[in-house]
Amino acid sequence: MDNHQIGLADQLRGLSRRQLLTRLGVAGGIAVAAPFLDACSSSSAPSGGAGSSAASSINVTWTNVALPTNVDPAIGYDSDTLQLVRNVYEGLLEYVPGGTSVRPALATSYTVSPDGTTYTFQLRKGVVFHDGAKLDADAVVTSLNRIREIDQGPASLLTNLKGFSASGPDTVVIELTAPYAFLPGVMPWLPVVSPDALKAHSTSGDPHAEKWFASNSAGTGPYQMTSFSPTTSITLTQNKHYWQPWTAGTPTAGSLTLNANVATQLELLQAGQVDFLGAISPDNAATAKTLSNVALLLQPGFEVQILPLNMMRAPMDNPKVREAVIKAFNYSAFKTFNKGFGTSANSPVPPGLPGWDSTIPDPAQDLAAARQLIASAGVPSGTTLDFIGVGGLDYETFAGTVLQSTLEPLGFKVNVSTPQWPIPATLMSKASTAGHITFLNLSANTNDPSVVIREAWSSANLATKGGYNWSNYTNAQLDSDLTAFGATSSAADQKTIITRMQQTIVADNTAVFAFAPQLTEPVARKWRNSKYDALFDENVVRWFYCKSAD
Amino acid sequence: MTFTAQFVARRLGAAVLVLLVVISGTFLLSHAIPADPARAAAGLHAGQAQVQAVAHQLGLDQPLWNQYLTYMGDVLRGNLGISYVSRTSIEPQLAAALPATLELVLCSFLVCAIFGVIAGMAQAWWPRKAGTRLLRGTSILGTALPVFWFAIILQLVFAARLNWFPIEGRLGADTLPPPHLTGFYTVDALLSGQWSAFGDAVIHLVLPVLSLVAWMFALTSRVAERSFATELTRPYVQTAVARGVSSSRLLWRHVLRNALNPIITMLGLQFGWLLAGTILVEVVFSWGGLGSVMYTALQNFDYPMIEAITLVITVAFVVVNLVVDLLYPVVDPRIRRQ
Repeated sequence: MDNHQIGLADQLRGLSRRQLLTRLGVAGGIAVAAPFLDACSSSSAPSGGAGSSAASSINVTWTNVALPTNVDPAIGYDSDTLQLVRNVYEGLLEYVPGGTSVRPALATSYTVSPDGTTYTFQLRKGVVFHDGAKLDADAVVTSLNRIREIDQGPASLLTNLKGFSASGPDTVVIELTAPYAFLPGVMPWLPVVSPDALKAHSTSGDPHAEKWFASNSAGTGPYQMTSFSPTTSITLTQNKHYWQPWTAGTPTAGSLTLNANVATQLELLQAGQVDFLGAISPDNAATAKTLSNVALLLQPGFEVQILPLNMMRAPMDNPKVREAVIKAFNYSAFKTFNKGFGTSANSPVPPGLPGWDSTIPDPAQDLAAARQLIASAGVPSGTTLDFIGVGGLDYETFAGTVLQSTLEPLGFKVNVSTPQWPIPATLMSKASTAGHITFLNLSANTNDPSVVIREAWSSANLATKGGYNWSNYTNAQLDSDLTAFGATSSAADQKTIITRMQQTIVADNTAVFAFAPQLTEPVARKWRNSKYDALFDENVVRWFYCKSAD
Repeated sequence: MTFTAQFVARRLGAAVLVLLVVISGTFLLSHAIPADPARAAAGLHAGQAQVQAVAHQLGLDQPLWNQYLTYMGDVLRGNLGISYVSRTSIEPQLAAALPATLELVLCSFLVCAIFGVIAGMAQAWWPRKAGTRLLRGTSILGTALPVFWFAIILQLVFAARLNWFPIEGRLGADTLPPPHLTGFYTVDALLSGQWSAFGDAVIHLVLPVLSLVAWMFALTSRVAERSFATELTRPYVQTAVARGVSSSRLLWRHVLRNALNPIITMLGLQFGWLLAGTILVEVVFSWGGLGSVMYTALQNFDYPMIEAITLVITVAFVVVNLVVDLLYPVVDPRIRRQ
C-alpha cells in the first residue's frame, strides 16, 4: 500500500457511497497527481479563508513535568518541545489529529514524478507568518534548507534527499536521490519559519539565527508565542491572521506550564485549573479515570515495548536461549502492570499502524517449553544475564523484575540495572559493558511502518555503531527489504515486504515483544472530544483542532 | 597589616581555594559519569552522525584536559558557557532564575532564624513546660521528614484539598508580575505599589517556605536552646538576677549577645543548605528558580548548567560564611581582642 493510499483510506472512511464515488473518480482522473480531498470527515483537508475570530475567548492550560528549553523547530524534537512547535509552526502537510493519514496544510496539493524521485508541492495562497511575512516558495525552501543545514532534530527524517528548490512563487520541488514513497508523511515534521525573522536575526556567526529561534518564534500556526519562561510557563495567543477560520469552542490562547508532580497535575485537572496534560503512567491514568471532572482519552499508541536480546553476548547468541527467554516472559503480568491500557505486541510494527501484520500470533508464556529449550541449549545453571533499563521509567524496572521472577527459577541469575538515560545507550555501544537484555520503546514517528524496523533491526544501526539495534541483529535480506520498501509505490509490493520483515524478525527470536501501550491522556471533561497526536510517542495536542464540549 | 585586614585576607584566600576545588571537582565528577551528553542533547531520535555533530559543536569530542582548560578559562573570564540543552548562554538563564530562588531562600532563612532563635530561647528559659516540650518534639519531627515528601503533603492538604493556599508557582494566573526591579516579586510589588500582587506573592510563598523551614527549624532551635542554656548557667547571669535585672532585659540585652556566636555559625551553614535544599521544593511547587533549572539540567546531563549552578551556590555559601566570619568580631569583642 503506498503512502498516499494509506492516507486516502483513512480519509475515505465514514463517507457516503456518493461522496466516495465522487472522490475516487477525482483521484482516478489525475493519475500520479495526488491532490488532497475536501471532505466533511474528521480527516478532511482544512479549508483556507477566514482568519478573523468568530470565537469567544477560551484560554487553555497544558501542564507537564518538563517544558521546552529551546523552541527552535529545527532542533526541538521531543514531545515537550513539539507541544509548542506543533501549535506555532506548520509544515506543508499535516497529520489528521490522532491519525496516520496526511492532509494539506501550507501546501494544497502535491504531485509525484513517475520515477518517484521528484515531489512538487503547490502552496496555499494568502498565508502570512506571525511577523507579517508572506508565505512563498522561497520562504519554504529557505526554511527546509535551514533544517537540513542545522542537521539536528527533524533532519534525521530526511531520507534520500537531493535538494529543495522553488520552481515558481507558489511551487516547491523536493528532489530525492532515490524514490521514497513515504515522503509526504515526513512533511508534517518539517516546520516552516518566517524568512523575515531569519534574515533579521541571522549573523555571520549564527547564519541560521539559532540564538533567536531558541527562545522566540515566527511561524504560520494558529498560535504565536507571547512569553517564554522555560522554568515556569510559556504563553501562546491566537494568530488572528491564521489561514483557517476560528470557530466557536476553539481555544484562543494557552499556556504551557511546568509541574513536576503528576499527582498535583491530576489535582489541578480535577480542580479545573488545567485542561491538558503531557504523558502519564498507567497508574496515573487509572487514577484519572476515577476523577469526576476528568475524561480519559484512549487512542492507539503506535508504540511497542520490546526487550532486545543481545546476540553479541553469550548465551544470547544461541537461538534456543533467546526463544526460551521469549517463552518464559510473563506477558500477562506486564499487561496487568499497564492496567490493561494497551494490547499484546506481536511484531515490530505497532498495532494499528498501516502495514502491521495482524496474522502473527500474540506471544504467550510457556514455561515448560522454555525449560525444555534451556536444557537442550546446554546452558549451565547459574548463568548470569544482565538486564539494562532506563532509570525513572517504572515499566522498565518492572520488566527487570518480571525477568528475574521468570528466569531465575529456570536456572539464570538476572542482574537488573536501570541507570539514567542516556547511560544505557553508552553501555550498549561497547561490547564490554552491553547487557544481555535491554528495553526499547519503539514509536512510529511517521506513517512509514519500516522506520521502527530500520531503527532497531537494520545493520546500519547496530548498537556498536551507536544505533538502537540493541539485539545486534544482522540480516542482509532484511537490509535489502528496508531499502526496497520505501522505494516502491506499489501497495502489493509494500505489503509483501513489510509482512516478510515482521515475520523474519519474530522468527529469528530477536526480542521479547512485551506490550503495545495505548495512548492514555486525561483531559478536562469539556475537551473529551479532542485527539492527541500519537505518532512519535508525542502526547501532543493541537489546540486548534479541539472543540469545547461545554 | 591590622588584625581585621589579616583576618579578611585569610578568609578570602580560603574562599578562592574552596571555589577552585569545587569548580574542578564538579567538572571532573560530572565528566566521570559514563553518559554521553551529546546523545542527550541531540535527542532520542538522533542518528549517530547527528550525535557526533552535536558532540563536535559542543566541544565534547575534545580530550578531557582540553575541555577542562577551556572551561576554567571561560569561568575566569566570567563566561559560564552554553547550555547543552537550550543551546543558549547560561548567564541569562541563571539571571532569570536566581531572584526566584533567593526570594524563597531569604524568606525561609529569616523565618527560620527569627522563630528558631525565639523558640530556642523559650526552650532554654522554660525547659520543662508542656508547651516547650511539644515545640521541641514537633520541630524534631520536622527534621525527620524528607523535605520533598513534606512539601507534597503540604501541597495536597493545604492547597489541593483545603484550598487555603495556591498549589504552585510564584503568582496566580490572573496576577501580572510586577515591573522587574529586583526580581523578587514581593519587593518589586511593594516598590511599584501593587498591593494585590504583593499579597499574591506572599501567599504563594507560604507553603514552599514552610516546607524548607520545617526541615531547618529544629536544628536552629536546638542549637539556640543549647547556647542559651549554657549562657544561663554563667555567673554573670546569676549576678544580674541577684541585682534584680528583669527577665526580658536579661535575655535580650545580656544572654542573647553572648549566645549568638554558635547560632550565627549554624545559620551561615544553613543558608548554604537552604540553597541546595530548595531544588526539591522548587520542583514540587513549580517555583521556577535555580532548583528547577538544576533539576532539568541533572536529568539531561547538561554539564555546563550543572557546573554553573554549583558555582553560584558555592559562591553564595562562601560569601555568607565569609560574612559570618566577619560578624564574629563585631558581635563578640573578645575575638577582636584576640
